[in-house]
Amino acid sequence: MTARLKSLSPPWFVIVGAVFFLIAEGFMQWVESRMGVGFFHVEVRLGLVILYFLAAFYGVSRAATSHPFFDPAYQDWLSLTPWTVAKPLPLGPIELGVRDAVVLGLLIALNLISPQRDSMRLLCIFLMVHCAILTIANWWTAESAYVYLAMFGMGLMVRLWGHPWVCLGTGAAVYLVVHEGVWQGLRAFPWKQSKVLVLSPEVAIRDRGDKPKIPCGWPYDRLLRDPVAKTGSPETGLDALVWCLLLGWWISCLASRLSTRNEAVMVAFLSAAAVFTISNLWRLLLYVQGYDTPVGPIGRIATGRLIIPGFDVVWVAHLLMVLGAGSTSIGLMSWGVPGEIVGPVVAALIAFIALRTPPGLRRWRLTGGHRMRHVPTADMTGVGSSK
Amino acid sequence: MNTSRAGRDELPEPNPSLARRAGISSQSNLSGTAFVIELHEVTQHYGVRPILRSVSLTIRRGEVAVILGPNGMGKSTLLGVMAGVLPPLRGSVHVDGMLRRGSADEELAIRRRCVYLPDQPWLPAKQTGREFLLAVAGLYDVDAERSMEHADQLLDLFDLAEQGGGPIRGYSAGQKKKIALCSALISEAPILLLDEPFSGGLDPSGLLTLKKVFQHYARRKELTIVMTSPVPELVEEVATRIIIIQDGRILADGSLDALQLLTGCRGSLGDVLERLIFPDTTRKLAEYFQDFKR
Repeated sequence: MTARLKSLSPPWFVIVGAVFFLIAEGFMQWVESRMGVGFFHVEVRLGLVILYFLAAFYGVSRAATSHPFFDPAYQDWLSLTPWTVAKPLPLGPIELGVRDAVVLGLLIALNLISPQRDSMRLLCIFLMVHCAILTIANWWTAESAYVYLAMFGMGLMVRLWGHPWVCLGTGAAVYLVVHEGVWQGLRAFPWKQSKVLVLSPEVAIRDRGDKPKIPCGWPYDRLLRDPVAKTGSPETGLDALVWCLLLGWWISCLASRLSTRNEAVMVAFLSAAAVFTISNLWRLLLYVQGYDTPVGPIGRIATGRLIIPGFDVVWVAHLLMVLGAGSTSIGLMSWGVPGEIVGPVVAALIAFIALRTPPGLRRWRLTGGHRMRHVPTADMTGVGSSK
Repeated sequence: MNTSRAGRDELPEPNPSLARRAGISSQSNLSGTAFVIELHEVTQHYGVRPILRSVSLTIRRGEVAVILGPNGMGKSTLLGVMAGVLPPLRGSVHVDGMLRRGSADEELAIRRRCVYLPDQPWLPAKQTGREFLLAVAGLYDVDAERSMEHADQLLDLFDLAEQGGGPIRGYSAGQKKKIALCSALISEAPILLLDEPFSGGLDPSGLLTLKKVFQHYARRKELTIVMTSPVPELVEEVATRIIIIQDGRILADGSLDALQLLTGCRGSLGDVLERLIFPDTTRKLAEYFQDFKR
């Protein structure tokens, strides 16, 4: 019986957080009892902030400590056992259980002490953060569809933040999708090495004989490592499209939380501008840094070779981003589409152009008409240089 | 005097183990493609200054070819075009029958067969010499155990056994050059493209070692080596073929004997070079000493 109770007890940080909450809330209520209610002119009371934080932190901790993806040592050990997805995980289940109900119940009970009650949102925060962390694991271990659905659902939770019950219902649906993905991911255990490398390169090198990523300098890295380097961009056009649509969706959801329409329109367009800037810089950095034009502007004019197709193809994406952003904004606005929709659409379009306009990075680095140049970095020393 | 395809039959049989490592699978490919590197009408210019003017050149398997010429005449550019770090503005480069920068897969295959070492490579400062060598060997898919043994031998050969365990940032200029040369050798790539391998502060022992290594490969005809040098004396003993370049054009191309025959000079490579590139130097020197007697 004692062991059962012990297994249900909240983790230490929840207890510590609860004590902080009691101190903060007790102090505020004591002051208010003397100075009058409303003495603290705050939108959200400190006690509630502590509870929000505790709910979020518990959501992270619960996902990160139970899923083997986040613990390479656990993962390695598990791969040596006859464990299958049909059996319970040795260090506890990933799905929520009685202990989680106890912890969340405690947070809700504490919230009842406060005059500012927000129990539903506490649960929403917990669910959103918990699902977000598990979605990271799903990205590496399960089908992309679960990730996309979860990302969409979490955006919807943000949009529905003003309706706590509906938001909680959406959170519950997202939770079901995420856990289906978790189950699918665990069914594919043990995972491929490349997926493990993301979190623990040292373990992968030591135990699995992977190649160490020791730099080899110029020109070795440029010639042999850069063309095969992973950039993290989506592998297929469909993946890129979905990610870009999700980006637009999230901008729209975040903008919808603003109090006035003007603010929402402004944030939507500012987000599109930020996506435009980042996309252009990202492409420049990946494609042009260290891969120079074979002939500079003066040489082009002097030799009459104004356009060098093999190199200038790299500018097509930037040109398309400018033209796409401009024409889409003007076109949609002239059709009367609201600004808070135009911004996210333009952002999604720009991101898609940046990700998918040819040439692909590997192809560019291997076959582009560029002149390769060493880009000095602090960790390199030159032969024949004083550095 | 450009190499002709008629000389194909005289070529030695390539080493099958090297061929395997190079990724050449069929015997017919080995015997069929005598030219490892083929440049066709390559033109290159920086800004408005032409560097290479319609250069056509072929390098055969097993050759140790040295590109010689005065400073700023296009030696490094020619090597850079062969190595793929520079795109020819006109013309084409083929390596083992594959077009450079033609398709992504072929270009990657070419890069895995070639080692290009510029005159001023950049090395990882924090890594030890041994770590660096093993990392390069890893890039070229050399077996780990083999590369560990090879690294020890190379470090010993170039008098770096003691420094091999220390970070490269602590190396002298000559030691950095040595470790860079070791990295080219440990890759076991069948084609070495070396820009001024004898420069960069190598000590006499390093120069001698490098010369002996090249001579060994020239005799065995296992590796194809193309290197540049502004100094004929250093490469005279190792080159099986000498390509003299001036003003972006190939002035002469052949063995030392052939160049001696061409110039009618039986002297050293330096003398031959003087006849070819600097015919006025002897006259100018005589005039100088005559005008300013001390």
